[in-house]
Parts: sequence; C-alpha cells; structure tokens
Amino acid sequence: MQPLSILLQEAPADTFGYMLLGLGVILGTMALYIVSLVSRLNNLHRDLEVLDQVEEQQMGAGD
Amino acid sequence: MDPMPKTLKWLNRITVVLFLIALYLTLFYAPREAVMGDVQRVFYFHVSAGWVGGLAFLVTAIAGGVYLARRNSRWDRLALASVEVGMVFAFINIVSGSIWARPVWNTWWTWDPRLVTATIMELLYLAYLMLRQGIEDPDRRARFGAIYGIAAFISVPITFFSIRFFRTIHPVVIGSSDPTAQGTFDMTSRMLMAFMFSLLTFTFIYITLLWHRIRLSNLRERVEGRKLDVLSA
Repeated sequence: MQPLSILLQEAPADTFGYMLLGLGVILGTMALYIVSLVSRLNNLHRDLEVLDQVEEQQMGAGD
Repeated sequence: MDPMPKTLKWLNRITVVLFLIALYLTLFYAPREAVMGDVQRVFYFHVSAGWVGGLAFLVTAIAGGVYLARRNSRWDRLALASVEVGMVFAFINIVSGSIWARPVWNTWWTWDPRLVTATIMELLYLAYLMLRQGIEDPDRRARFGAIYGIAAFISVPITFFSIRFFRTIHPVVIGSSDPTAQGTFDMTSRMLMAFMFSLLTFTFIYITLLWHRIRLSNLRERVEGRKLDVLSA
C-alpha cells in the first residue's frame, strides 16, 4: 500500500536532489574504479622499468 | 606491455558512446515518473548494475569450473577479474537502491529480503578476494578461488528470486509485485526503451572493464615472473 501522502499528491514528488545523488554515486564509483585500474597499470609499468634497470646492472656486473 | 588491441580500443569508444546515449535516454527521453518523480530515473542504472553484478559472478563460476577441468591459469585470471568488476557493480546496485529508497520508503535501509540477500552476496565476494590474498601457492589459490566462486554463485539466484519468493516491500518491475511492495510503477514504452538500452550499455561496460582487468592481471603475472628471474640471476 502506498503512503497516504503519496496518493493525495497532485504532482510528482520533488526528488531531483536524490536523483542527482544517485547518478553521482553511480558515475563516481565507476570513475573511481577506472582510476584504480589505470593507477595499478602505471605502477606495474614502473615496476617493469625498474626490473629492466636491475637486469641491465646485473648484466653489466657479470661482464 | 603489449599495445592495446584494436578491438579493445574500439570497444572503449563504443562503450563511451553507448553510455552517453544511455545517460541521455535516462535523463531526457524517459518521462518523469508520476508519483516518485526524478529519483525513479536512478532505476535504469540501478537494475543494470545489478544485472552486471549477477552476470559477472556467473562468469566467475563458469571460469572456475573450466579452471578445475583444465588447470589453465588463464581461467583463474578471468574469474578473479570478473569478481572484481562484479563487486563494483553490485556495490553500485546496493547504494543506488538505498538512495532511491530514502524518498520512496522514507528510509535509507530496511531489513528487506532483497537488500539483505544482495548485501550478503557482496560480502561473500569480498571474502573471496580477501581469502585469496591469504594463499601463497598460486595453484592452491586458483583451486580455492574456483571452488569458492562456484559455491558463492548460489547467492545470485537467491538474491534474484528473493523478491519473488518472500514477502517484501521491494518492487518487482518485471513480473508481479507483492501487494505490499512500495515504489512499483508501470513502464511506458519510453521507459522500457531507456531500461533496455541501459542494460545493453552496462553489459558493454562490463565487457570493456573485464578486458582491461584481465590485461592488468596478465601484466602483473609478467612482472612477478621477471622479479623471480632477477632474484634468481
């Protein structure tokens, strides 16, 4: 059963703020996840660069 | 790292375009619901996020089954990637539902079967990620992940059917609602269009993010391999 106040209303309820909040949370969460993916990817690339340098040093020391 | 495949580049572009169209359909094409007002527009992405969560966990269960049969780590990486993406969307589903509920049910949270089962589902997969991290041996970790992923999937149909089997105030938009449901509405053709398009768009978002997440796992495996090489040299 709907609450009485909703049945008696003549116009749609003013819930624009809640819609903005809902869409903001949805878009924000997806954006945060994408940022997290990019950040983890960059960290791994940095790790690879460091590993390349270490390998070069090891090869230099072995010569 | 290998350059991004052309197909993935195109998928990125298509997904962004689809998302912009879905946003337009949600905000401007679909009419304002007569009773709830604008907050009902959250419904299009709320349900789509729930759909992607369920789909992602299904993919995890299937990938787990294939891993157990073939013992190829590629399937374990797919299962893990799908859990992570699925959790993001299950979280969006729960939080956006809570925001919708505030003006419609007059509360952010209630101990309704749907809300409880959806939260348990999310927590089960959070436990999947946490427990995996505690296992050092990659084969054991993958085996555990596969079995857990298959077992945890039972939470998905329970969540889906909870509003159809139990007495609940959560509306059933497709099918018939419990008479005590609050926030039920009949979809107009424009609403249906926005809804179906959002489902399609979120499926594309899932596939795109999943692909990126798998590439991340592949790169991580390569880095771990290189680290071992450097240490053993």
